[in-house]
Amino acid sequence: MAPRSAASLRAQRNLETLLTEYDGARVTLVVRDVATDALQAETDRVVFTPTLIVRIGDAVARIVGDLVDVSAITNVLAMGGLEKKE
Amino acid sequence: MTTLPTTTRPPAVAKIPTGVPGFDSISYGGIPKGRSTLVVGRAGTGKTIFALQIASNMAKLGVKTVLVAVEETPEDLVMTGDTLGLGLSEAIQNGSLRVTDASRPMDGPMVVTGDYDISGLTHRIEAIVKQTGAQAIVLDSATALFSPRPPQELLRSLFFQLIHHFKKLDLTSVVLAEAAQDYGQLTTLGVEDYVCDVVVILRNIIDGERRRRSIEINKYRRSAHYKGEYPCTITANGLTIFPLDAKDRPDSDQERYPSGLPGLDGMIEGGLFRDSIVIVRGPTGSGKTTLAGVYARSGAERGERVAYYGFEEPKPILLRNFAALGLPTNELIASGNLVVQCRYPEAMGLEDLLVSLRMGLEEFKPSLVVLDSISSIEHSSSEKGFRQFMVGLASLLREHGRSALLTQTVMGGENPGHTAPYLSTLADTILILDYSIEKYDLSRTMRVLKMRGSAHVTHPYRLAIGQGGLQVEPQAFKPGAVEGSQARPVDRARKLENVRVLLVEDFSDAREAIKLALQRDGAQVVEAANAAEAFAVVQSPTPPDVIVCDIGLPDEDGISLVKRIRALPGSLGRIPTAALTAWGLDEDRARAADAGFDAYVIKPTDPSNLAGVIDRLRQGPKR
Repeated sequence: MAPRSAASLRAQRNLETLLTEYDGARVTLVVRDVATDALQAETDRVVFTPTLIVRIGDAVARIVGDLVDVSAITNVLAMGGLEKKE
Repeated sequence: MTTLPTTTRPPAVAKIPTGVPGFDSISYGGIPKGRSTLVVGRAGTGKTIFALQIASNMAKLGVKTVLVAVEETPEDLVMTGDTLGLGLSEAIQNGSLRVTDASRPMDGPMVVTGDYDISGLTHRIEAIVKQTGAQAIVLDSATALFSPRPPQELLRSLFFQLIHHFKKLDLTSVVLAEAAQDYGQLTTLGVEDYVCDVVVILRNIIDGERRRRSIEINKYRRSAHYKGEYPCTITANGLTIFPLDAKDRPDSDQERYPSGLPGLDGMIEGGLFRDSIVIVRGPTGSGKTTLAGVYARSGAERGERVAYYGFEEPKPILLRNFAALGLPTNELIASGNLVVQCRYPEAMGLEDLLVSLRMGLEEFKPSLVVLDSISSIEHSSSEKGFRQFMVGLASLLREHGRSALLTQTVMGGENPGHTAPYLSTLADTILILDYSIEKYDLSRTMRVLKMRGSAHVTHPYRLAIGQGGLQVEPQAFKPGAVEGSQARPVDRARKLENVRVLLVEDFSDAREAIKLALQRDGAQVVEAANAAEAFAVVQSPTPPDVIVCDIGLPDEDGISLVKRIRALPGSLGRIPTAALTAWGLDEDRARAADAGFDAYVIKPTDPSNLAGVIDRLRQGPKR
């Protein structure tokens, strides 16, 4: 995510809200700031912010945008075998 | 009294040379420093090559540059540049070029949902700038970067953020963008040109049967630039542009040099001007090639370096024809003073021909250049393509400060003084060769139509072709004499009266010239531009008495045509036929004789000679 970016802040809030519905032991969220960690952004080839990179085992998916519609994440997590808590 | 406010002239735009041959001329110095240049064009127009050339040149000039690879991987881009000899790998090694990968990762799906910005890329670039001290950036391309395409408002905003960021970092930027078409909306995204300071359009257009590349500076904020399209080509070393304006002409001190024809030098007060372009115009058979030969020999004999480009006949034929006129060239070629190159302009695009001429000028460094004829080049291209070629050629000659003699075939009967205006403007001197038919002979003339910066004789001089080439001398004024190749003889024997001649020739102006000459002898001429048309005429209710046939024809050549005619039953298979061709080697003659030709006439020839051959053939016993 980018500092002082409304879209990035919205994405972080939307994502954190969503993840409360998942088993915290099975999901790790790392928030990186492209301004202070540009090298990592280069390695991950991040162009647009916010970009959510979801890694489940060897599988990778990228979700760009403020995550107003969280179904994209739930679908990706479901494909990786992660369902919401009962 | 009111004092008008004084206006302050804005400072001149600081520029960085691109090193792309010709571009720094049409842009008056290159791309603007610290500002954005947009390069647009359809796929295959050479945008990436152009951008890599600029990146390479900036790196060589010490302007540290970042190359953002979006459309291709960094490895592929660097390989493209290295193949063109741009030394990108070397630049990366010495730290003057940095390549960053912004291509879309293909290791998994990418989904877009909601609002976003381009801070990821801008922060990456900012970090590279801080780390390396980069001052320039090349982005290939905006179209690939914004794919899938965001909604228009967001797209506009993202592109604006990107360009604004480049400017904030004081980067000189070159951004590439895809166009959907050569003309019309500049880019497929439709937002880039508004925020960039310079817009360059590359085109690769199908013009007739050929492709024609061009470049245009569509906009250049706060700087003058050349307007309109300029021809360009892609060589093994990248894009080369041909500025049409000869602004870089070296100062000429009005030095004169002999033309090789003392009579002509007398008409123009002492000789041709150095670094000037001479166009020699006249109908087929008027002596243009002979004059070109005399000019070239005379220069080489004086010790000058002369480059002769022939487009009308193969080199052995050209040299043999010169030798037959007493203009031997072997020793001059052996001495290295004269280089003769013959080629068919159809075999290469005009841009490639210009590149080849440019390389010839740079390597051989001739002081005199001959092109015989520009009409052959004209036949092989569209009107616009030929115009661009001629203006590019003139620019090339003047840029290198070379004197040139170009020949141009005009149709018999056409006023040779009137031709495309740009050709007249390009030429410093225009000579008109012509002939009229008087009694049984030709009366040849030479006239100086134009001689920039010099007094000259305006009436025609007599021209004689014979051993030793040409001779020019004043002619006695004959009251009532009619000038020009349209002249009708008063008491001329019309030896081909009512003879039906089928003339098979693919070049329309050559056909027209021969037809007019034969008609003056009374012949009824039926024209055919190819073998199929000719065969149809032979089988028509009024077959010809004699056939005059070119051998080099499109689709089916004259040899094959005559074989087919000879296979026809009855008198049709025995119609006497003369070959009229530039190919004059013994094996060519033998091939023609085997096919069934009865006579062999080598071009160029005097109309009276051809008429004599036809007269003999139609009187002779038919097969």
